Amino acid sequence: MLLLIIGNWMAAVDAHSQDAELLLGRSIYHKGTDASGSLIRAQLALTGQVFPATEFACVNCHGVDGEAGQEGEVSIPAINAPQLLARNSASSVLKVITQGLNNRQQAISPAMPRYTLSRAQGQALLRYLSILGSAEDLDPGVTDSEVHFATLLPLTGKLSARGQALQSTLATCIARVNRQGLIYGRKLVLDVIDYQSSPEQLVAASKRLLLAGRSFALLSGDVPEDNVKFYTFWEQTRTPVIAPLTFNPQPHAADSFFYFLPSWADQARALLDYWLDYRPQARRTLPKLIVVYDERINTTKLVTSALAQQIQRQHLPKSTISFISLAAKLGAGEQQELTNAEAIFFVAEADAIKTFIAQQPELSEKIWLGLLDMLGPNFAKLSRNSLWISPFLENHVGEQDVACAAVDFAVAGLKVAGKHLRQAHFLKALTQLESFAVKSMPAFKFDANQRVGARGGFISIWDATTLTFRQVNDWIMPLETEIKR
Amino acid sequence: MRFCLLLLCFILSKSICAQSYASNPADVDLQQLNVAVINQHGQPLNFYEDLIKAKRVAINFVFTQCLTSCPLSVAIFRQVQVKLAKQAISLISISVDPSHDTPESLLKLSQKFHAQAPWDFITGDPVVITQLLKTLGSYTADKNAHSNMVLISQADGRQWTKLYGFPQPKAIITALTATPDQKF
Repeated sequence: MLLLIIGNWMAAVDAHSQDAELLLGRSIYHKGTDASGSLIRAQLALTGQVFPATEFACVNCHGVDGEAGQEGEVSIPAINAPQLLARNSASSVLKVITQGLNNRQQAISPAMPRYTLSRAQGQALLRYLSILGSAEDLDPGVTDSEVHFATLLPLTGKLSARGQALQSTLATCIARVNRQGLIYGRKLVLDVIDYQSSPEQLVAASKRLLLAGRSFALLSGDVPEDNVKFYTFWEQTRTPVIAPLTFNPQPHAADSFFYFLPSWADQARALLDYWLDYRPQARRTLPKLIVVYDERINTTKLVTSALAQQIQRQHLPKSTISFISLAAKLGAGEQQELTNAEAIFFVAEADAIKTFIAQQPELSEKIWLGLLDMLGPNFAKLSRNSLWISPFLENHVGEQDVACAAVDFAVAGLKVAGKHLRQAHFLKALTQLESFAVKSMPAFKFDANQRVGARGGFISIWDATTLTFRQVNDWIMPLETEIKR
Repeated sequence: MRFCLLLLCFILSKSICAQSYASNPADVDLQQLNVAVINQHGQPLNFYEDLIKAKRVAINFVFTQCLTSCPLSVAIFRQVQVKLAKQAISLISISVDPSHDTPESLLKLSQKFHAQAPWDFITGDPVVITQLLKTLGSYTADKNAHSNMVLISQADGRQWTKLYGFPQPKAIITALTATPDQKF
């Protein structure tokens, strides 16, 4: 009995080791790095320059399945499992990879870099090459019967209520999808990772997730506004990241990221456009807008810069808009500007502004403009006359709808990507989807330069008489070209 | 077990490591080079006036989503730039995918390979860039079939040399530093 237990334990360890080796080999081939992020060097034979192998990963030339190809004047031979290791010794293949020499000690094409691999890395890569492109070669998180999506949520800590609500929503939506039928014989499985409401823990949790090697893609998930480290980590892994819930998408994001929600900057621009066109004095006087901002918020600079650019696009003089920091002591000039202003655009959180407003009672007579999801509806209710923008429509489109839409988007991509499921094919399928929409939001269309699905939002007025928000139009998108006045 | 010669022969037959060869092509129509382009810094330029005139220039053809030959082309140019650091030469990398390549994505590409000025990564109106590529003899309907050739311009664009077959840094340097009309 003891021998049986030990035998089973050793088998489990051995299986685990093999899985870890395969995972390593796959990571080296597809990403040019091992999962821990250790540097692998690639030396170009043509120039002697050394680069991180992430820039020259095997997959870049040899493709996801190791099939033959052509790009420009470069012909790429097939190196998938039936072709390569069946006819060549492991040591000779390793010599090609690390020294650029064939078994006659002749230099191979200098187009292929020479890679510096440790013994373990070389063994792992060969192990992976032995199955490359075969039915056994499945991307992380994919089996014959399941495809695993991971989501990073704050299940504990101060944001736990929100995280748990999102968890419940995602689980419900995935269950609905699975009831509708399998996708190429696979059901969706959601793995939820708790990052404990701590932005610092988010990257640590991401690393654990990647090392586990069981996630095909990231789905929805809550990320903090300052999410550069999260983005940088996942961007280099080429793992598909679908609809991270943030109003601060990374500019010029990689094609593995699909943001759904509009940025604060785009919402601000759209709101400004609306106000300029619909203010009662539109035809008679030039507008005068003051932007009151909190420089402690990381995204403030993006928003204030976007508003300044939008004034230019609207062909209005620069004097149309002025900026006042909450941190600055107001001088006589700023006081006068506030007095003369027609409208105030708040780019700050509610608590930061309340003190400022209390000190400037005349502001209650001005029109307030703001981003509803930044300031919150309770702040909006302090105003007498205000315009707000949000991608969410009360009782109709909410954050939970976006989370479910992320599931539907992933499903649509899976159906196009096919039975032999690869992250690369999945990414391509997602980018090719057209007219995907979240309820009454405009349809999304992603491409190489457009990684944010929704831009702008719904405009609503706070009616101080009826104490309600009144939607005033359909979705509005910011103006992108200059207008003539 | 014999190493698969397929791995070698196909690559060699496509002359990636074969000697690059030069030809002096038909004259490039300089009038057609007077077009508006934009570089990786978002700077609007006139291709001829700002990038060709009074310069010795090497031009290659890339696009940012190309992961196979283009990184190599850019790395080769960087090597040329390093080796000719004290000489007055300019480099131009023209995007063959202007519909997708923005100044920002080209800037990212240039930074990856530490490209220094004067080296312009060019994109622009797709119609204009397409015509520019045709003028330079480098247009292909499918961007994935783009050429890896390097064009050398001397004497204000009155003398052009094409280096085919994935030219190595040495060949590019030789062509760039040759006196006009010199055969090499």
